Amino acid sequence: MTRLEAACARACLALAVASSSAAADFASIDPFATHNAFVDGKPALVLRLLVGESLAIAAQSSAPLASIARLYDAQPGRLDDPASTFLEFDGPRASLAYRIAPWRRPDAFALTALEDASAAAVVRLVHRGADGRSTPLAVSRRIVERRGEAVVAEYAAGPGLSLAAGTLHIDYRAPRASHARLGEFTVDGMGLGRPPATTAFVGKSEQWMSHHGERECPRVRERIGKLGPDPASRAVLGALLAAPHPGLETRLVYWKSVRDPDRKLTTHAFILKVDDTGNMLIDYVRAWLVVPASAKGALPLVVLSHQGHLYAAMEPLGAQGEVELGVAAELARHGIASLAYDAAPFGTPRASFATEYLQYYPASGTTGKDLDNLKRLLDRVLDPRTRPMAGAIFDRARIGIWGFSYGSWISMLAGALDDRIRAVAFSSFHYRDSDIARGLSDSLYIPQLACFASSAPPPISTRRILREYGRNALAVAPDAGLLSEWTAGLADDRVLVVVNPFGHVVSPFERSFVLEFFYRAFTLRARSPVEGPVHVMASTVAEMAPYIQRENRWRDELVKAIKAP
Amino acid sequence: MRIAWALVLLACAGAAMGLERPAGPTVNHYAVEFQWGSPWGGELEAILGGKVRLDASSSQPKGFTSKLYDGNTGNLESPTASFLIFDGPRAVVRIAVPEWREVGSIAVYVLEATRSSKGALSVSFARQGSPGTRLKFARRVIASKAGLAHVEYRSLPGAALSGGEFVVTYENADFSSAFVGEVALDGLASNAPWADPATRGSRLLYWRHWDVPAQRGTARLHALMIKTDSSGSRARDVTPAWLAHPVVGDGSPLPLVVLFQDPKTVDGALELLGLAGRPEMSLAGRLVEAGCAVLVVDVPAPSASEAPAAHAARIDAVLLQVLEGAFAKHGRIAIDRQRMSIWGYGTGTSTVLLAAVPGRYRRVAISRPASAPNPSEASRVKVIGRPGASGDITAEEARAIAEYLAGSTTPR
Repeated sequence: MTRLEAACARACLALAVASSSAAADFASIDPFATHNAFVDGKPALVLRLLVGESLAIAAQSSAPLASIARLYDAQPGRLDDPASTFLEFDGPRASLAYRIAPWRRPDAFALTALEDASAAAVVRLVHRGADGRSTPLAVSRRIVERRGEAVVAEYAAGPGLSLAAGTLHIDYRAPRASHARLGEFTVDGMGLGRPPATTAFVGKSEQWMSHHGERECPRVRERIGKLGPDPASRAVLGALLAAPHPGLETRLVYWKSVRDPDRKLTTHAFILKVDDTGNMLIDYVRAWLVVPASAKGALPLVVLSHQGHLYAAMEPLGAQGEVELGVAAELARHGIASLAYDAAPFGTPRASFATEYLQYYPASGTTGKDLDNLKRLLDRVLDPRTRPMAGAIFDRARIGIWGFSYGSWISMLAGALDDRIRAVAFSSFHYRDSDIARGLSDSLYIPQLACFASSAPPPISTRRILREYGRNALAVAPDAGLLSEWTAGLADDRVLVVVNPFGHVVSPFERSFVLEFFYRAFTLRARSPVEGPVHVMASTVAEMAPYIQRENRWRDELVKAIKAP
Repeated sequence: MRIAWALVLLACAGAAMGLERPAGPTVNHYAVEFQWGSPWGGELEAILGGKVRLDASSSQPKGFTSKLYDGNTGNLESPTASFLIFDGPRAVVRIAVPEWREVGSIAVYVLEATRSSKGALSVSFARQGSPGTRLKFARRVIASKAGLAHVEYRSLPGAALSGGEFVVTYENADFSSAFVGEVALDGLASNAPWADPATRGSRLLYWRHWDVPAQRGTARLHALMIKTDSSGSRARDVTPAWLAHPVVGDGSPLPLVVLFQDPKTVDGALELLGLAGRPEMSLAGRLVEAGCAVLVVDVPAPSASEAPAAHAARIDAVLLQVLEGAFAKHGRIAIDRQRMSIWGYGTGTSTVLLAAVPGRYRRVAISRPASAPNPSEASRVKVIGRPGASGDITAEEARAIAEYLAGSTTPR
């Protein structure tokens, strides 16, 4: 950590202590607030985290006559219902303090207020940095809504501020009025709910193709060469393989670390802004980085891509859902960090492919979006700027991914397309060749997969996936012997394992197989030794006999199935 | 070499299922909030997830172990989908029972041949370090079809079992695989009313706790799920609740404040804990800093429209658990019954006025009631926040509420 970062961290800590009221903070133990805030699909719950946790009424302010939460309820204030949409104060002065974390770097602020048309308020925004230096910000005013003499005025600073750690002081004095009435305080436009015209998003894939795609990924170029001249297919492929919204910078908007001393790990809950549709379910991806407490050196990292379920990332994190799929803590026990994220659109009961995604990304649906989100997440986690918050660095040569069901679909594509991902495992990916229309050429299968507009299974078979990965890919039901032969024979290429391609389940044994896969893959490839305990060997051969018999039987079944016409 | 790797995997398999789950403090709220596939899916997943594991002597299941506690006991229409199928005839499952959990009954649901079944169930319960005791069972055929029988083995009434482990051993040579539908504790797998006398009454089903740094030392938050009724309806029978309190070294009795949120609000009781919604409503943390124990009682969204009397009954049942139940026995928190207060908000005020009728509470306060209390109530109820007023409670009102409720902490 640099001296500046350390100073910022100290300043923020001091501010946090100073601004906290005399109340035990139970939120500090909840790593899943970032998931739960999205469950009801209400922007106000999300904004409570993104804005509310850093915003306070300053001491010199008049007292508010309702909850401060009205300042971040995604409601700028309406002239047809001012009583319930503006926060009224018992005097003309409203003062707020917004705490800025070192990693946040906000670009723009806005504050709306109910005023008389002829009397603009006096509004001052002053940034006080961690070094104590104060800088006033230029504020502009515009009228958002007018009804007779009453107006909703917006006072804005930025964009382009990129403010450092410290506090933003907002001082509002109402002119010729006994009460200040504020509507919404927004940071970087969050929660304004102003989506651009839907048509702006149609054709993102074409934009990507022309600007970024072929340059960024050799594999993409190679595959595009195989495609026919159909521009729609090319566009869909572009949507799948990279940024649906190429011009948008990824922004870290939330970070909270929760230590788990019992399991010797820290869960870092964070949220990235990855899009700007105005729909918070799409624009913000929530993710969790699980880091072993004894992290030393560069850590291997496994991305955990979850199934289509309301539990979303809480399942691979082990907090909810199938116990066999919760592997984050077990990986941490072996010195491996993990990254889980809520895939679009899971984690919100009422969201669906059709309601949330297809209007913005009609060609690629959630598949393209999830691949893009995952790419942005990895970019951010591997970025050196993440190190001070995560307390760890990650080994770029030891990045893996495991997915189950829908997560296996994303894992397969991400593993094939993102060269940073070196070890890929997926479970319960049981689509068959018979699902594929006869005569469809190999080179078209990715565009077909991209059209994930319905709940029909993607028309891809395990055999095709294996062919795509090349010689080091093996389709195996969990088999200890095969794992040994395979990992021992690894050269410098990427590795893949398919676990139970026939059923939509992961048994306890298969779970342990996946864990062992990553452990073996990363240990064999280790540039530095992995810290932490090693596996304890069982004591007798007799104990293993039933497992070996069983696994051999399953492998036979697999081989038979693959050979079947 | 092959065997060596297999040994490694076996070691992993053994360790894989024994981890405590890293649940957050809101899991009990969300477990009852949504329907998770089967009637009791969410609750059972939270209660038993991580506590059910395979014994090393078991054949391997070809699926998730959660099928043993998904609230679906199995059916003959679709046995392959509704039973957990093992790759051998022997299934051995261990179920950890915490010290505070008092299990009145255990039932195991399996698939057997209708005639001359060779199925045999053995269940033992052992406290840590003690030899196991074998339980006696009654066998009942629930349904039969085409030579298959859906069978329930239910333990005979006995003492409440806690602080140990069930070992369920089922062997059935009728088929090459054992088929086990459900392992149900206290009848928590069906929508039938809780007829079994062993499972009636208030019961603590879920308990996790965390320590949080506080200005005066440490605060502790307990997340609970309590069986508060025996109707067979998940929404009616299970009540999530939280108890927060300062950690006091001398064990002196703490005053208790019961908080009841408007059950129709979006964030429910979570607001009172500062885990969602409006910051002014986070009264629990404030009261804990003032030295009080705070009991926050939640109402699942599907039950938000229940009559106030039903909600009041939930509060009573939760309070009983905290004062006299398994929680009281194992929580090591002394509550001063002479210093108890209660507060309700919005439509929850009617519930609080009903719950306060017995005169159990030293102070009763309400905020934003739909209408002012009637004259008979007015003398014993403090209204903080104008009756019927729109809008949220203000920061000043929140301070006043906390001060009034904490003010009752002075010993009489």
